[in-house]
Amino acid sequence: MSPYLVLGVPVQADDQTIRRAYLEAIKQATPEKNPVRFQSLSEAYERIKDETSRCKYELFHQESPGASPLDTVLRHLRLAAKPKPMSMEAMKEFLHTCSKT
Amino acid sequence: MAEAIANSSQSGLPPSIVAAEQRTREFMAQSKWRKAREQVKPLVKLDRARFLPLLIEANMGLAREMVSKGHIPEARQVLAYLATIAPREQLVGLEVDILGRSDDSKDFLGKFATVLIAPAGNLVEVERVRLADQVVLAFAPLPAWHPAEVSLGPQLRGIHEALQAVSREEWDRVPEWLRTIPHRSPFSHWAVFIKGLAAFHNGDTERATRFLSSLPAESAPAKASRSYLLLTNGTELPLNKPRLAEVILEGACRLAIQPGVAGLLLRAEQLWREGRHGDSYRVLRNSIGQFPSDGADWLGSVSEFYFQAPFGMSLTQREDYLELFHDLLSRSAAKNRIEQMQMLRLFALMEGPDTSTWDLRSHWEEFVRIHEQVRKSSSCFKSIAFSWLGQQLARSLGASSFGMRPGTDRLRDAEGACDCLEKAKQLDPQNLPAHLQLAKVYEALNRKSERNRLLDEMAEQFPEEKLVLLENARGCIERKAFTKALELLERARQVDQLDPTVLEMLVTTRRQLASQHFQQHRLDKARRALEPLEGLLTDQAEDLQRSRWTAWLRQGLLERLQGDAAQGEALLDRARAASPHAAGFLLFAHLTHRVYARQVDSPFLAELRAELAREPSATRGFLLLRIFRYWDSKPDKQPWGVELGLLRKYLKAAAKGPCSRAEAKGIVELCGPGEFEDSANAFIRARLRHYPENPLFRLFKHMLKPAWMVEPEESRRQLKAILEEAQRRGEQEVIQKLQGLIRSLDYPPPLPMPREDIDFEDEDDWDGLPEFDDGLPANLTGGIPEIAEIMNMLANASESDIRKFKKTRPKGMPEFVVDMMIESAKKGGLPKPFPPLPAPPPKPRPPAPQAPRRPPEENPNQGKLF
Repeated sequence: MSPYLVLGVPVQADDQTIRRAYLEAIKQATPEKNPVRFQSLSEAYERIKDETSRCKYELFHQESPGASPLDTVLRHLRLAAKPKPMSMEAMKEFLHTCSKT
Repeated sequence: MAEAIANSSQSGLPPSIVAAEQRTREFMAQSKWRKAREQVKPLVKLDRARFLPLLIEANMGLAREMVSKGHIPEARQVLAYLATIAPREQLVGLEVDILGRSDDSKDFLGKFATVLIAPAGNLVEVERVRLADQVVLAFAPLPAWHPAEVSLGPQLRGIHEALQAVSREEWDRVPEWLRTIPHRSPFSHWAVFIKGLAAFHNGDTERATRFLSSLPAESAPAKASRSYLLLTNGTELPLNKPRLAEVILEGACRLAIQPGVAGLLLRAEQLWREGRHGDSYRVLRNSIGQFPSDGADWLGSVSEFYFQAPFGMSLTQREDYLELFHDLLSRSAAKNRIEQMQMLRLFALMEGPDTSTWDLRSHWEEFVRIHEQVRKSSSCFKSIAFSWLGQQLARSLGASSFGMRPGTDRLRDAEGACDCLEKAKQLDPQNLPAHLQLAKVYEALNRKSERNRLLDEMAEQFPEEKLVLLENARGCIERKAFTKALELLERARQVDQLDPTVLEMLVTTRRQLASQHFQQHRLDKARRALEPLEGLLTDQAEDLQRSRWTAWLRQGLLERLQGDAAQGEALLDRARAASPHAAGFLLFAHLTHRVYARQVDSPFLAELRAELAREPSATRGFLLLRIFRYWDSKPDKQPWGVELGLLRKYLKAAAKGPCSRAEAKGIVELCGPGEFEDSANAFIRARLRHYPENPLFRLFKHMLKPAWMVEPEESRRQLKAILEEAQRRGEQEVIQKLQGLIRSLDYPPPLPMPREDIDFEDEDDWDGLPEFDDGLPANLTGGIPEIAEIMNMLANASESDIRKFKKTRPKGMPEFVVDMMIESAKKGGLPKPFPPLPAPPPKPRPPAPQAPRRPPEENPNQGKLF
């Protein structure tokens, strides 16, 4: 998965922004509380912590962000910031559609 | 039928009626509701009490079937009929279902509410939940006069207002409204659903999943929750039910992406899973305008997926998939700059042994150029990019030889590498790897002054970098500027006190400085140069570079040859006493003396002969070989003569004596192919005599056969047989080596690419073989470096080298040709008459576009074991 997505920072983020995001994230996901997330945060940070690492990542990384197109989209959406709620009208339509399945 | 007759005798009914009842039940079991209904109708007239429930059940089944197929008007007709024969409460669930599928649920709101507030015994829980859902989904208040308004009105309002608060992100108001829903309310599952939504939108994924997963299974909120749960990773998409999967995914897309994308994603997914990777890409490419993209959104992620997936594919899958991109690139039909950039990057990174340097450079440079336009790349980025390109172009193609002696390494494109690395350096003066690589390329091109200038620059620019200091020191040592080299090495030692390379170089350089002083009779300076060595030496006798006994031996010889002979003798005595054994001391002394004095003989030779004639052993043989190999690897080594013979004889005798597996392995590995090949074979034979199945020594035996002598298929068969035995014994090191060798047979190293500047004449211009009255011109083979190199080598080869060359000549080359080449080489030209010239090579056609083959993972043991 993209380290930018894992840390929740934009691709143009600088060293400071990335470091801040990393420190904030590991406060919530400590090694004791959530070791898996902690590890993925640390790995993501190592890959993009300074300009040289970011350039190398962009040039040479060969990992796929998912196992298939759909898997990739879902992984992205699960990591991304949660979407805003639907409008009431859209919610009504959505509920009606779902109830008919 | 017999059962029916038996039943009829029990019930007292005629057999025909019993059979009809049986058939009715069979039809209902098969969900053939119409047939069941037609079968039971006449029976109701005969016995209403007995058969009416069957009629009702058949009609209910038929109505539900119609509802599930969406035939609502027909379902209503059946319902209307049922209202005449069935009790009211039995029809509520069906009524709810029908109204749930139609648009006029508001008309029945009051009726539903009435049923809801009725005593619970009239409805099963599932129907109660469904009824409550329809009441909520009417999104209308109960009439003020309705008896249910008092109890249900506030709750219904609470649900609607809470949903409204969620859509407006008024999170504080949500719990306020939900307080109106008591625990046992028919709407309590809606309250749970809304809490789940609030948690979801506030990023509390765990809480959201907990709430949304706890809803009644077939309720409307549960069905809606599936899309949210997909986004919290709380559920999987049921891909085996395409219609349902699409509904769930569409909900998720509507929430998080945009409506209308679910169908495309599912189609692309299906094609990908079927292995139609190119078609999968095309689905999105042809349907979504901005695809491929490099944004930070879902589209950027899925675009990245398609360009990263090849790195994890098998060779066949990759070739098929990349055909699509090859085609687009060759037709300049990239959809947008992102697609073009990604394709170029992919081809450059996946280049295989068939990719020409021109292709690699053009792909990569174009990629960098587009990247700069699209993303405004920094100097650091471009520098790293060119640095990488330079490294690829500076890759070694391996030595050119026909198996005799290794030739010099050729680089893929040394000049191109220089250009790229110099560019990388200019773009980012802090790019250390580019500097280091450039220094290596200058060395390969023999551009010594540029290399030295670069190293001096680097020493100033990177004063604390150990690698820079070491490279610089090496350069100084080559120029014999030992004092400066020592200064640089001391700085390197400050950076890393424990690096053994630094310590070894310090020791070597001090000795060289001392040697220089000894040669110039500056004895005090020589001794002073050696004094600091004391702190760098070790008591490990097997360390031939830094052990005390070898240090005393060397200094002793220098003193004996050029300084104080008595002091020298004293040092030699100390060295002898501290050495592991006499033979080792004598051999080391003899070889060192040969190097220092540059003589064929040494005062130690006679004693060495005598010592080696004593009882030989594998243990001593191993150290002796190590000592020989140590001196053989030095740049100032002497041409060996009698030492080789003595050692071979010793080892041949030692092979007949006791020898542990580790000793035999060590000796064989040190011997290797070459001058001690016979000794290696002796130990191998001895080992296999006692342990014929031993896989390690069978492998050694195989490796020592020249490649020309074994057909690849036979070689593979033999290696596989050895591998089986190694796997049976669990010998991991041997297994890995064997797997590497077998892989190298499957993926042989590429033939050297023809030089791109060779200008082949058009074959149509050839009128026939040219005639040379005075023999072939001297420069005829100038364009083919291998032949010239072989001829040079043969001109200076010893008899044993020539014998080896004959043994390992290319398969199919007759011996008389070899004899003629040798004769000519000795005389300094090509013979006349020479064998007929081969037909001129065909003009090379530009290669057809092919998917680049990814080379197998690097096998460090390819082609060699030792």
